[in-house]
Amino acid sequence: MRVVHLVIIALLLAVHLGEGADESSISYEEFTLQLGDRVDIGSFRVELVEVQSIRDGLTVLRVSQSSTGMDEQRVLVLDRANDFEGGADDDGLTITVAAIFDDISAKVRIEYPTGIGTPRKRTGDVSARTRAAPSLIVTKSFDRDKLNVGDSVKVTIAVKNVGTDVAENIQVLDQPPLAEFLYIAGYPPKIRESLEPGESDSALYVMNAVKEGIVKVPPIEVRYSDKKDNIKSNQSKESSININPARRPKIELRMDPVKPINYSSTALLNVRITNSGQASAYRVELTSEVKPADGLRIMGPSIGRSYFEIPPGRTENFTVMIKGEQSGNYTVKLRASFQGGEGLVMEEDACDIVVLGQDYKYLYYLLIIPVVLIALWVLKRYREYKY
Amino acid sequence: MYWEGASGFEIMLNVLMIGVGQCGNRILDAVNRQAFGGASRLSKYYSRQKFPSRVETLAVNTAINDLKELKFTQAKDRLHVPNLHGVGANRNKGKEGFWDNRDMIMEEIERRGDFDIAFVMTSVSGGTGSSFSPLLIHELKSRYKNITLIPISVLPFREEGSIYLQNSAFALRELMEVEADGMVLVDNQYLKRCSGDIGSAYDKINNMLAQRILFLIESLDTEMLSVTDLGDFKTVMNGGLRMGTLGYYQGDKKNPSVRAAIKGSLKEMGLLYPANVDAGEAARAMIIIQGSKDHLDVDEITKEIEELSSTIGHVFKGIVVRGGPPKVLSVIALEKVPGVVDLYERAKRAIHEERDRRERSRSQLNEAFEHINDLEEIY
Repeated sequence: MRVVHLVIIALLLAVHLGEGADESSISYEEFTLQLGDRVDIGSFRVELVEVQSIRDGLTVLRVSQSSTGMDEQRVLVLDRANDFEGGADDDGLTITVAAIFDDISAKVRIEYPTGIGTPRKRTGDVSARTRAAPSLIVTKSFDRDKLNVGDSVKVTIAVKNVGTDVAENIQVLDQPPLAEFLYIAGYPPKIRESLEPGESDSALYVMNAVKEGIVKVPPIEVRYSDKKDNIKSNQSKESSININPARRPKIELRMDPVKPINYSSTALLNVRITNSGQASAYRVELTSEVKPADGLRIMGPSIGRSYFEIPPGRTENFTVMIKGEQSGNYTVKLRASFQGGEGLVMEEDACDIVVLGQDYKYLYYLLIIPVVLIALWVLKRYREYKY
Repeated sequence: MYWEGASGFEIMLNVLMIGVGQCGNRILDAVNRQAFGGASRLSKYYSRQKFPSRVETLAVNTAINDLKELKFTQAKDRLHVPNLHGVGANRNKGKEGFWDNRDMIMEEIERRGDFDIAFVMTSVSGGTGSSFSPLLIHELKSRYKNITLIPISVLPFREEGSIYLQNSAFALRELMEVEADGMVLVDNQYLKRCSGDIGSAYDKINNMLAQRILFLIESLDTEMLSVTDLGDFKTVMNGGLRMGTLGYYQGDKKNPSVRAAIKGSLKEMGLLYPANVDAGEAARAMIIIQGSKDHLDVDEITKEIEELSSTIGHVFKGIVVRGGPPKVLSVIALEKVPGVVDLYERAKRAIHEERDRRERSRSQLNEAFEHINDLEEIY
């Protein structure tokens, strides 16, 4: 039986040797590999190490041969055949990257001599397959979503690298300046050019609302690249902001009514300036005018005064002393000018003041005197005739 | 007598008017009221008296209540004879009162200065007036040598009683016996016809008399177109019985005739004492005519005066030019006073009756007393 066995083996070997001589043709197989996946053919091993650049079609493959100790890592250009150990025509391998799917996968075509064995694909370690990559998220937020024309709003641009690799060449692309706003400071926002994984950066700029309406704020886009110069981008959510009409100050002047002033007497005139508007009034200048000019004198302090700012709801009070020097009807006009958001605004108030005529008190006595004289006369007559 | 007037020194009459007794006081008060214009009861408080001359008035009475009734006579011109509350129509008591207070009374008069004429107004029937007046006139005559004294004697209503009648009779006689320059008679009995009730009759009589006295004073002291003066007045009052009276008539627009006015002033209706001038009861007269020039026709006046002179004897005329229709005051000296004679007859009867009544009463009383002549009181 041993002989039989030897014969059979000899036959098989002969067949085999005969077939090898006859089959010196080249076979090929295409494999879809992910990072870390490898294909074993005979003593060759082909491993996808890295997708270096999708745009440039560069991948890194590692080819080794156990029998010869060859171990080579080579960057392969897309659709360009690379020979290892002489290529498939010379008992080596010819490898071509047929397609790059993404950063971690590519289609690899392996040509090999048909006789060296059957290629077998072996899946690599999953972790190795996950490629380190940056991932940026960007947000654009306002410190308020409702504001009035003239209000300033702070815009915060925040970028965070939630990926696993450094993000480089970071660019924040904010929309061109919105017409509804006047950009005061910090625009365009500046973000660091690179962010390590987990790092974040933010930028703040201030703008003033200049036009009322509902403004749709377009998303902000962040562009970056990874180490392989793969360019990526992300953008924030779209939002809107409501701009109400501008807040304006409203200055109300009021002078308390003054009772009629006796001739040559003084009285107090209370003046109140109230900002009943929604915005501060700036550079409030008060002036006064008395008509007619002569006869009623403002003793002091002067009505003419200025306030740099009167916040909304604030009331300024002061009192001046006036003196009636001539009888008559007078009007004290009070005028306030202030910055009201759209330029200089004027407000006026007037107060009528009556100065009574000179009180000749002795006139009362003159009135009494005849009465007294008549009474005395009657009394005298009464006594003359009383018996 | 010289007195400083508004236009310098002028001859002005100094007139003393004394009202004695209740009646005299009231006449004096009416004169004072007339001097105020006589318009209102309150005129004394706002007006002043406008006497045509310097007139001093004095009301004398023994009854203080009569003095208190006066309204237009100043208190200083009211003289109460102290310690008396009227004399109860008793002239003897009145005379005693006068003598007891003569100096005080005369001092009060003399304090008022010198006088040209004095009117002593009194009722001859009452107590104070009838008893004081003759004595007062006597005293005045003795102290003021040149004074003209004219008593104005008011005769009573005849039915007022026997005492008033006898007082009137004796007082009139005494007034005629003193050295008065005539007497003006006013007869209440005659003038009673002026008003229905006695109260208003008194007021009307007093006012009539006051008006005529002031008219007379004014006329005696005013420049006239035809002059009459105090001398003329005195001459008139000394005529006839030295008893006279005053007549008055005021024309109006309907009847502005001066002759009619003169005639009217002499008719009985216009006189204070009833006298028939046409029948020759007037001895002398003074006719004072006041009115506007339009109404004062001198020829007419002269004719009328001449006619009167043929009846009366002598008539003085005075013409005062003033506005308005003619007013005429006539002063008449009487030759006959039948009313006075009648009063004396009544007085005589009254005295007799009074004496008889008293004697009868006394005899009745004596008879009554005789019942107890022989008896004594038993207790």
